[in-house]
Amino acid sequence: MSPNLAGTALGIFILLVVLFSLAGLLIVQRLRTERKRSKVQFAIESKQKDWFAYLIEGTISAGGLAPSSRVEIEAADEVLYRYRSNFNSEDLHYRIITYTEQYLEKYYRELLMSKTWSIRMNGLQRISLFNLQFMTPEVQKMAATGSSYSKEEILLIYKILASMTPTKFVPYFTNPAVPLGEFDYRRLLTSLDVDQLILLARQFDQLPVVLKRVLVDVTGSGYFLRLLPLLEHCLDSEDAELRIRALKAIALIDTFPSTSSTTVFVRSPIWEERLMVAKLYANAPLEEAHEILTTLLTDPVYQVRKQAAASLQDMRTGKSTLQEFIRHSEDPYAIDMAVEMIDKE
Amino acid sequence: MPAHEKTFALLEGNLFSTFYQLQLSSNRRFHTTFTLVFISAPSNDSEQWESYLKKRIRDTDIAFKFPEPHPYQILLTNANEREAEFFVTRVLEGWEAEGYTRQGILSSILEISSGQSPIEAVIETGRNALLSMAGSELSVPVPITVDHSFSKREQVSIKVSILEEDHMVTRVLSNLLERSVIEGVAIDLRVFHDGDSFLSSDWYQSPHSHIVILNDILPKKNGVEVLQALRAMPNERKFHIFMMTKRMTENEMIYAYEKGVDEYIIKPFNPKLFEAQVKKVLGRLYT
Repeated sequence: MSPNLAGTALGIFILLVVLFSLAGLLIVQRLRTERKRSKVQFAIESKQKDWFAYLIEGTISAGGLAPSSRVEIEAADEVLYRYRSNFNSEDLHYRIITYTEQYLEKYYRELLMSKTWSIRMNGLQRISLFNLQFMTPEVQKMAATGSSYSKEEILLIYKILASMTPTKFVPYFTNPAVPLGEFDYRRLLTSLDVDQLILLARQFDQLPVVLKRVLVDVTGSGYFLRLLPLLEHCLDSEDAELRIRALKAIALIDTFPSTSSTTVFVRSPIWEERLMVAKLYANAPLEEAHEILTTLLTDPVYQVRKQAAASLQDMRTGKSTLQEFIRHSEDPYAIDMAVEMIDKE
Repeated sequence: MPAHEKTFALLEGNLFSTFYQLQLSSNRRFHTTFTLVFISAPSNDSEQWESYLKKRIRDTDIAFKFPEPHPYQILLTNANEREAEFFVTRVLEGWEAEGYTRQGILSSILEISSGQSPIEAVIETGRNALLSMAGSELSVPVPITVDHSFSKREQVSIKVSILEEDHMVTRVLSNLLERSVIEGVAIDLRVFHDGDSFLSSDWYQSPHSHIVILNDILPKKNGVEVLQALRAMPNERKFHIFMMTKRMTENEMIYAYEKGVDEYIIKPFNPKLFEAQVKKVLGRLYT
C-alpha cells in the first residue's frame, strides 16, 4: 500500500469516527431531552387536580405544590404558563404571583442569565405574562446593558418596564439600546394605556421622528380623544408625513378640531393632506363642511374628489347638496363624481 | 263583541287525546312546558258562558268541550302555570265585567313539564281537583287551584363537547363544566383534540341539545370549519356553540357571530365568567 493511499484511508477513518461521535452525541442529547420532557409531563399529569384546586378553586395553598426537584420546577412553570395563557382573573393572577415569588424566583433569574437566546426570551415572556413585579430590578439591569441583547429581547424588556414602571419608561423609548423601526414602536405603544401615551406626548418634541408618527397613529386607531390637543399640535409640524397622519388620526377619532387650523390644508400642495381634510370634514358642522367639501369636490386629484363626495354623502343633507352641485357646477369631473356617489346609494 | 274580536271553536272532547299526545311528544323532544286548565261552567248563564269562552281563548290555546258533567279543558301551549293563572283570572274578571256572576265557576290548573305524564292520570287529577273544591265547606270557595303533580321535570341529558388541542385546558374546562351543572340536568361530556376526530364521529348527530366548546385553532380541521359543518346540519339549532379564541378585533367577532357562534370567548378568560355563561345556557336548555 502506497503511503498516499494509507494516508487517505486514515483520513476517511478519522472523519467517520468524528461523524459517528457527533451523531452519537446528538442522539444522546435528544434522548436526554425527551427523557426530561417525559419526566416534566409526568410531574404535570400527577398534580393536575392539585393545580386546579390551587389556581382556580383556591382550596389548597401554594405550599401544597412546593417543587422538590428541578423537574418539578419546570413542570410548575409550564403549568402556570399554560393556565395564564388561557385563563385570567384577579384570583388566578394573585395565586400565580404568590407561587412564583415563593418557588420560582431563582429559576427565572437563571433563565434571564442564560447564554441561550431562547431561554432568556422564555424568562422574559414569563415575567411579562405573569406581571412579576419582583423581577423588575433584574429586567432594569438587562435594559441598562441593552446592546448585548437582541432586538426581540429589547422590545420585550421595554414592554415589561412600561408595564411595571408606568411612569419611568419614557427614556427607554426615546433612547432605545438598538434602533427601533415603526413596526417595533407600534408593538410597544399598543401595549400602553392612555395615561402612558400622555406621558410620551408631554415630551413629544424630544421623541424620535418614527416614535412621533407611531404615537399619532396609535392615538387615532385607539380613539384616544384625550390626545386630541397633541394631534392639533402636529398640524403645525414641518413634517408633512406627521401632518397627514395627524389629520387621519383626527378623522378616525370621529371628531373635529376646535380650531379652524384645518382649513389651510384645503389649498395644500400635498394631495394627501387635501384627501385627509376631505375625510375629516365629514365630522364638521354642516355649514362649514358644505363649503370646504364642495371646493374639494372640484379637486384635480380623483381620490380627493371621491372622498369629498363620500363625506358629503354621509352628511344629513348630503344627497341634496350633491344634487344641487350637479345642477350648478361646470366641472364635468366633479359632476361625474357627484353622480357616481348618488348612484352608489 | 267588538268587530275585530276573534272567536275560536270549542273542539269535541274526543279530540283531546290527539292534541295532548302531540304536545307531550314536543315536551319530550324540546323540553317545552304546557299547561292544562280545567274550568267548569257557572251555575247560571251556561249558554252565554260557552260563547264567552270562545271569545276569550287565545290563538295559541285549544279548548275542548266534554259531555256533562265534565268541565271544559283548555290546553295552553308553551305556557307555564303562572301564565295560566293570569289567564284564568282575566277570564273570570272579564265574565264579571260583562255583568254575570262567578257562582259555580271552578278552575284547576296543571302544568305539564314531565314528558311521562299519562293522559288518564292528568285528566283524573284535574277533574278531582274541581270536585274537591266543589265539595269543600269553605263559604267562599277558592275559584282556582294549582296542582303540581306533573310540573316536575325529568332529568334532561345534554351533550357537551370540548374541542381543544391542549390537554391541560380540556381538563380545566371539564372541571369547570362539572361545577356548572344545575339541578335536573345531566351532562354527557366528550373531549376531542382536533376538529377531524369530532366531525368523523357520530357523537354530534343525535337529536340531543348539544353544547360545543371549541377553540378556533385546531389541528386537522379548525374551529371555523367545524362550526360551518355544524351550522350546515338540518337540526343545527340544537347546538349552542362557544368559540374560544385569542382574536379580539370587532371584525373577527362579527365574522364569528355571522358564521353561527353563540358565545365568543376571548382567551385568556375568567373561569368564573365561563361557568356563569355555561350555567345560563344549561338553564335555558332545561327550562
